[in-house]
Amino acid sequence: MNEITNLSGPIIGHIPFIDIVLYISPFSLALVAVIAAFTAFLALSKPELRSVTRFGEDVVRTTTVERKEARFRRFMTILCGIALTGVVTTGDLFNFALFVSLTGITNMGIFAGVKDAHVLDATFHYGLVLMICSLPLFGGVAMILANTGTLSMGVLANIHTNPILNMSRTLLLIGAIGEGALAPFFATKVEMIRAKGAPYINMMHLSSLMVFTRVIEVLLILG
Amino acid sequence: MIGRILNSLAEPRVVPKIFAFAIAIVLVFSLPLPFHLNPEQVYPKPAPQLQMELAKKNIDISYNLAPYNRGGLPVDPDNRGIVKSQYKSPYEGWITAYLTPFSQWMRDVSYHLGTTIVAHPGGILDEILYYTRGLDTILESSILFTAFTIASWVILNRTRKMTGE
Repeated sequence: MNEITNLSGPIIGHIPFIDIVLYISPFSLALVAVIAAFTAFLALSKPELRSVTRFGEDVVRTTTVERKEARFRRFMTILCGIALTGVVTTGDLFNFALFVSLTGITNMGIFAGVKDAHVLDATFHYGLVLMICSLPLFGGVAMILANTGTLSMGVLANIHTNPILNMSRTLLLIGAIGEGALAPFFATKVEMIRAKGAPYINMMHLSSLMVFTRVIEVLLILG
Repeated sequence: MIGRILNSLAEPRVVPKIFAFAIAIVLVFSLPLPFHLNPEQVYPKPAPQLQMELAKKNIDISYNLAPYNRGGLPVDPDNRGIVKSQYKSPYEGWITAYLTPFSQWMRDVSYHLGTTIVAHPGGILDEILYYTRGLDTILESSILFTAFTIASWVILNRTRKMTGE
């Protein structure tokens, strides 16, 4: 518990379910506020109308997003917000991994609604990355469970680090980098962000930010 | 030269391959590490061999459930199943031993139906999974259903475009 309170301030409260060990600290409260505000903003706003200018012609077209498509993507955005809330508040390592992978797949869903061939192509490759990095994510968690015999972050904060634990932390970091679409995936990400329908795709940046912040905190708690 | 390499890296097609290769390299470094299992695990069960030996020695029918047996009697506070979970609850170990009549009949018939009993509905309840780690079950299935939603959306729109509606 010491490491957790060092990092994120005094724990204000636990939410009392049996395994749902959500804890609230000033740090996670701030993150939840940002996520809730941003998700509400995206869910209430209308999709953009993008103007496309063609070279060589004197034509400016306005592209629209179909109502059904917008509804599907809005649903995925809200689901992503819920998953992110879980990512920043959970106190159980396995639940953390599950929430991170739920974030990844909802991110993919936001882009899978688009009907452009190149965007869908990039989304497909991003989905491959998601599938690949579920191995290091859950493998890291499984190694931590085998090595320490516990999954609760409150207990893990008091355990001293060793080579296996460092290896598991590396794997956890790689997994979270893949699921959260962090730095090395700019190639796929840029292709995906060419999709029209601006407000929803911003959710991906928010989830990158939140997953990164939280995974750093988790790695510091484990170390 | 550098520009050519960077251009080839910008292709979405190559990103999963590079990523998989990088993970493979990291995993190779993990092989020589001194890995040992911590004996104080949270979700223990008697070893399967031990369960089978006890079954042969005592002719205790409940050990026909090996290797999934946790012992105990259903809803009996004095004879609880062996449940050592991370997140405590006053009622743990109460329902682990519950079987439907059909499963009880299967247990009485043979030593060798443990896996069948645990795999069909009404058999051994994995109390740790469904009771003390309930959110895991919900989250796993919600990930699955999100994937189904996305796949059905993609396929629905594809067929609609093909039939020209």
